[in-house]
Amino acid sequence: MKKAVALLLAVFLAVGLVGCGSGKEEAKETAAKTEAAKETQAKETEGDKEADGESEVSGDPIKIGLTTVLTGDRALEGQYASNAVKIIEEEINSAGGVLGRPIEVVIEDALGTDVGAVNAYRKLAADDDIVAIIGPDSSNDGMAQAPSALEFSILTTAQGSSPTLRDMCNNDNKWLFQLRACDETLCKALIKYAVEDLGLKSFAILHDTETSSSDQARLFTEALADYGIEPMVTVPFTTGTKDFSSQIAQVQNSGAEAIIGAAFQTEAAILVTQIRSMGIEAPILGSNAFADPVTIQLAGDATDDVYCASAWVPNTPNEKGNAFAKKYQELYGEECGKAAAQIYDHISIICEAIERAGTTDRAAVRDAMNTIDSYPGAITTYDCRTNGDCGRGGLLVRVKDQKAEIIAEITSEKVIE
Amino acid sequence: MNLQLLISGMSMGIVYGLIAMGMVLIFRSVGIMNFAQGEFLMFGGYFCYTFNQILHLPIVVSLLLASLSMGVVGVLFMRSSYWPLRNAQAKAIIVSAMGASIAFKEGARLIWGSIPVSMDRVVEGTVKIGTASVQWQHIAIIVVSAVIMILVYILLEKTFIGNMMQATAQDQYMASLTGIPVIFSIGLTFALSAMITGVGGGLLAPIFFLNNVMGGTAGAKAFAAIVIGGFGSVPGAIIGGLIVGLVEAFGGAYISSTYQLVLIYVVLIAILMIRPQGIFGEKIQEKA
Repeated sequence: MKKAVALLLAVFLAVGLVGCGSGKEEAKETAAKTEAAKETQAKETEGDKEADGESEVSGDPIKIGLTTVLTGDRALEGQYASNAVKIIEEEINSAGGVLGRPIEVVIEDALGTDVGAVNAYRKLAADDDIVAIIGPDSSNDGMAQAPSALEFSILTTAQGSSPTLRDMCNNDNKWLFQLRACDETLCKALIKYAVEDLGLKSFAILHDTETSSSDQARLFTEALADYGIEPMVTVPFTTGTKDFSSQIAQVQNSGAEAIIGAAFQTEAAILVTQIRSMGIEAPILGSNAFADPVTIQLAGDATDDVYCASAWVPNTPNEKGNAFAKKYQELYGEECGKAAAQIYDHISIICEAIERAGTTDRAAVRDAMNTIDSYPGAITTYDCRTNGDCGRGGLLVRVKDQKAEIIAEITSEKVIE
Repeated sequence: MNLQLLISGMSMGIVYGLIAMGMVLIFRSVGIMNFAQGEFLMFGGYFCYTFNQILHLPIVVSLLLASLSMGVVGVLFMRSSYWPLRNAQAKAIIVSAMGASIAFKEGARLIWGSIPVSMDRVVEGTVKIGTASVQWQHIAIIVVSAVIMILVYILLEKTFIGNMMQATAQDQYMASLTGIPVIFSIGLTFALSAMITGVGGGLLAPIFFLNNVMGGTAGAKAFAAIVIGGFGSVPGAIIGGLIVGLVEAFGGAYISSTYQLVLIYVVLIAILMIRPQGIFGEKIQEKA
């Protein structure tokens, strides 16, 4: 038995060396970079403090809950979120905290399912020290958490951008806020650009069947209808589809001038690669994910001539966003994704609401949230006078040479009835 | 369009066939369906990524090394998930494999991260056949998989080690009486199963990219391939895989792209209604 265990350990070690040894040099390099970045950051912070004459934070931390996906299919979201939390916690606490107290973000795993999102939410909400909770990136999960927000009476910021979620925030649930610009704004802006500036007249839509992508496909169709255009063909596919040849063949047969896609990063990358490899050179217009750093990295030059109305790109012209993206890149050695920037903004805005409320009382913080009318975030400016569609814009981008080039900034005024 | 669908359907199908073949080898050896087989695909892909993108080795060498590494993983999997439970009920071993599947997925996430990755192709570019543009990688998948299948056939049918594995699969007790080291033989079967499935991961990754959950759906389709081909039949697994791949491609284009998975199960049910034992299912009935 001892022999067997020893043998097992030896083999594990061998596999470990083969699998991980390769990354040693890179890991060392990254660690060194990270260390250097941390030191620089610490020095800068120290310098800033001295210059501003700020006092140290004291007292019990103010706790903010975050439900994000740490395991399972959508764990990338959690990776971005956890990284962003470290940056914003450090920034806020080194700048004097909130109400003179440090902040602490408590993270629970939403598992990438609506049930997981609700369970994680309820665990956080049951803790009286938690002042506000941030929902996961999926609109569907955010909507699943809505009844619990009402039940526990706690400020909840949802990361989803679906119009259904917006209506829920505006009409049914005063505790729930949708911070991201609603998809309706972005989809309309992209179609306007495609029809009016690119002069495109016929479109085929390819979309994932999960809730937010289906919603986006519907919004694209409605935006096209404003110009009297009906999609030549709308082809849905299920999440996790790997081979799109049958879907692309239908699009090819439709003879559409341009292809509109709505999907998450991996599917978007596969879709774009396969469209180009099948010899189709039509412009591709896509949802947020089509100009995401991950999509561009995976699909490479196949993403050239992809147009996208996106909430976020790392080379954003937004000053705050640009500084955050640079810091993220320095610390983690990778480009900053939308999910990280969103968490950065959510925590900043919640802290702003707490400051405005002057207390950590849940009801007072919620009420203070409605007083925020022009908060400059890393992604966009936020107007939370009504709970839904707080983000006031995004970016119209075109991918060229594997970089998201900004064509124009999308801004919209908040309509308050 | 049809040629395009035929080639992509065949290349997907032959990979389902590889996974299914790996599952069948284990099923024949220990009588248990390995529900972590899809994760062998994913892990093989990640090993290939490690050799190709981190160690910068050529893709063919990376595929070979990934396959060998998967052999070690297969043995470790056998020793940790099957062997301690070999005398327990089959249900316990199935649950153990399901647990291992989660461990593989989350282990891969911890080691390689959540961001999907890609790697070099065996052959870059596309070829124009008539009006269809076909990626060379699809053709490479078909050729490499076919070669692997032939090699496995030769190993099982024409070599002493293969005969030893088959003897153990037929009757472990009798095999042990004739002096065959049963644990070695079963370990070898698990290693072979993981190796051939792992290569599939390395071949698919440049087209479909790698993430820690890529094995789940592929594993489910491979299971459907086994049922269609007949439980326990290696040729059945391959033919079943090809049927699944082609139904997926043509059904998606001509019937419904949303219900591709449903179409596979409709075909599965139709085949089972005509031949309940699957296409090549006689052998397993004789054994029963």
